Amino acid sequence: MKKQNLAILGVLSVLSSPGDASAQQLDYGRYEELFGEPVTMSATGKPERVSDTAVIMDLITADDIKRSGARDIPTLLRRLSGIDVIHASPGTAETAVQGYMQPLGSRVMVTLNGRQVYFDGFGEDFWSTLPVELEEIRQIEVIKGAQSALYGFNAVDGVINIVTFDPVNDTVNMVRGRLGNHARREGAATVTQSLGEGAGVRITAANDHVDDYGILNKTANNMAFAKDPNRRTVSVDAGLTLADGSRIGAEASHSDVSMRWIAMNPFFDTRIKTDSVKASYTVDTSIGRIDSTGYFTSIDMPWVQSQTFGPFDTNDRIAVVQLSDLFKLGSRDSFRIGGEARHSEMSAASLTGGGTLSGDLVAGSMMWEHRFSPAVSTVNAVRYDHFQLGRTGPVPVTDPYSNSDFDRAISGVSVNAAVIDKVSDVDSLRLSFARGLKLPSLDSFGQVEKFQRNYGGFTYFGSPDLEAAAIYDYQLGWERKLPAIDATLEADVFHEMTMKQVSSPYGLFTGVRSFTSDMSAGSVANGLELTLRHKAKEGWNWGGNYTFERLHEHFDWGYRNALPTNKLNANIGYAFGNWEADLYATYISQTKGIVITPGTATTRPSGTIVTVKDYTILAPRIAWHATENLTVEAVAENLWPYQDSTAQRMETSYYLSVKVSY
Amino acid sequence: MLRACVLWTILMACVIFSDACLATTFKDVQIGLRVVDFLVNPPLQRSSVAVIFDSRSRDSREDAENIQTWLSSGVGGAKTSLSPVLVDIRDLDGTQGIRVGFVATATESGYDAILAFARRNGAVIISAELSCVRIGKCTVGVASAPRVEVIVNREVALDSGVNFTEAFRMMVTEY
Repeated sequence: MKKQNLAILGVLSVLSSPGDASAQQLDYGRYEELFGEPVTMSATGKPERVSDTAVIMDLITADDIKRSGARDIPTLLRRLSGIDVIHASPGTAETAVQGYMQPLGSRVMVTLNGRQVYFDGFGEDFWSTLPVELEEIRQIEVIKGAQSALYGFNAVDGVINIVTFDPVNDTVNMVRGRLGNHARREGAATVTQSLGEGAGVRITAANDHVDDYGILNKTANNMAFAKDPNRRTVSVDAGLTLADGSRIGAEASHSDVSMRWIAMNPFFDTRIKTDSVKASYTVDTSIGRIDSTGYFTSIDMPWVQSQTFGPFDTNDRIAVVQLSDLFKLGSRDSFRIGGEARHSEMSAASLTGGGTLSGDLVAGSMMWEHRFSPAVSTVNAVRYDHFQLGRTGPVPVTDPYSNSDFDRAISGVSVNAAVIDKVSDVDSLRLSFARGLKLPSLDSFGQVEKFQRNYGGFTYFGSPDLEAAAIYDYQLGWERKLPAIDATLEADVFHEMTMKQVSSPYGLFTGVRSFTSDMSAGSVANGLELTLRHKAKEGWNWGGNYTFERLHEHFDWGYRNALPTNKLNANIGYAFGNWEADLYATYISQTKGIVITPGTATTRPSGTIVTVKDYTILAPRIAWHATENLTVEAVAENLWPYQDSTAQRMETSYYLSVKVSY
Repeated sequence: MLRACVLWTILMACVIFSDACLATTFKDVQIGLRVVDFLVNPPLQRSSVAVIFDSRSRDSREDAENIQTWLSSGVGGAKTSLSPVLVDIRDLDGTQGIRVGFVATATESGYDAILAFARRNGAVIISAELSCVRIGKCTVGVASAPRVEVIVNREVALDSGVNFTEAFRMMVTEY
């Protein structure tokens, strides 16, 4: 789709709203007050109480965050069942849901208030670039399993939606400073300003620094280019409720991050500058609730120092327009009809041979929820995606593909179906099936990777002939409330099949000879998750979860099935008066990884499969609310060092935070 | 053992004096008033809310007075602030211009009058007695335990010209 078509869609999305209508954006806070529990729109695309949703999901609330002692979102996610987190550096983390941990190819869709924070070029979620502080977050919604029928390509293992407080209805004012070892110094401030009845704005700024540490893969060029993780962000979130009840939202943000970032074992040092603007309009009309959203995200990496490819720069542009109508017919059936248009493009100097890769996507979707009774309901969604690939600009002399080879389209259908049966006042059963689609990243389609001489000196090409991979996901969940101990028990099992996946150039180091991307055999993941939790603002707070996962990859990269089989999390805390004390423990069983050793003048580079030992993380915190406005918190992020990847050792880390809320 | 005895005693009391056990709670009133916020055209601030009761029933009158007291003292969390007025079911015919009604317990004999009042005034009628909604006499039923439930009689709402936001409709049970 051309840019002018995108513009037309954007105009249409605004014009589609009748003027005599009235509505309000989903007011999470007010609905939560009404129902006494959080509400969500992420699970099925319609507003619903979390206890009513047919989809298996986890929720991290603002209260959970306050008691967590965490500095970042991956730390919070790691404490949930079924989530894997590995660190590439002190400032970065890779996350995976239900077993797939692959570099440069995230299978999890991360959204910030519905905006996809996804680097199309590499197919990667860079957590540290997110322009959000934990104090701004109302809830983090984690939906496990394929969700392509709601979110499109790439939401194949799950969706993590971060919902911030509403600048119109919620007041978040705070100043926070944090000091720790490794020269950690972090500062953040948030101010919310009412702009009159129904209007408000929240502005947040943050500046974080920590010295780089823990590099295991020390070589001369690694150490020469290693950068300290630095992060600077500023964001503005504004809302305006018009007299007719409709709601206009506007967001803008900028982040500037430097970090070390690892793809398997070789690493990149990079600076990432991200700018984003977003506008939305929500209105209740006679034909339902119309939501229209448009956003543009620009991601620039002005310099990347790659251990394997040498220096390069890259940029990524994403423009998205979404329009949906949510309506209820009769008393039992809800529908959501949606459309999306998306343009993305990536230019990366040497990495794309000087050309520009682009992708234009149009999609249409429909969701139908039927309530058989107050206890039994089902939700079904289907989405059709049409993706048009393209490449313009110069073509590298050695590239086996011409620009016209990139003129091709990929289409596919995604499906989600789920049912919930509240079999008793305390028991709920959930069953779901999904067919998701994983689209290769632009990088996989059109990369031109010229490896450094000590890494083989060969050239690896992406392939425009890659396909979208289908993922089939089955889940069964049982939730039981335990009133006697005011707790909830959950048991979930999943079975996920990935029919194909993109092969990697790193297979070269393990003897798999390939000089262009291709679709290789898929994999199967099975798992069991058990969770028991009790949450309370006063007194004891405790919980835990256990995850058993097995991954079987049909294509052997030499370290296939590399996934920790057993994961255990536990927490206990006590709040008394102005004090809170909490302890979080994590155990992860051993797994495997690859160490790639560069060659010399006389030797070739080689890959060695190594064991990443099992490890335990112990993270205590103690907080003192000195006054209603002042909180002092001491946290040990990990009491002793641990290693969750082949390339990074997470050293003991502790810090002291002082926060003033007003 | 002691707890079982206490629960059994309460259960028996409820069977014998059922009205007393069905009395509207503060939480019910809180939920009911919050529901008003999700009307497409909510009433103006400090509009009147009719607390409808049956003057022939002591339980009903006491329940209505409790509701009036809670509404007067302000119910936390609701955007809309309303001024309660006690209205006997026999006076409903002469009551005009009130767009929200809160039904006290033990008013079954006045359900038809309540429905007529709702249709005439375009009023949303809220009750903690869910049966009133299920039989098509009240618009909204609220329950606070064991979990918050909000049920809406779609037919009564349409007849009365009462419209809720689409998002709200999707989160409640409609009949």
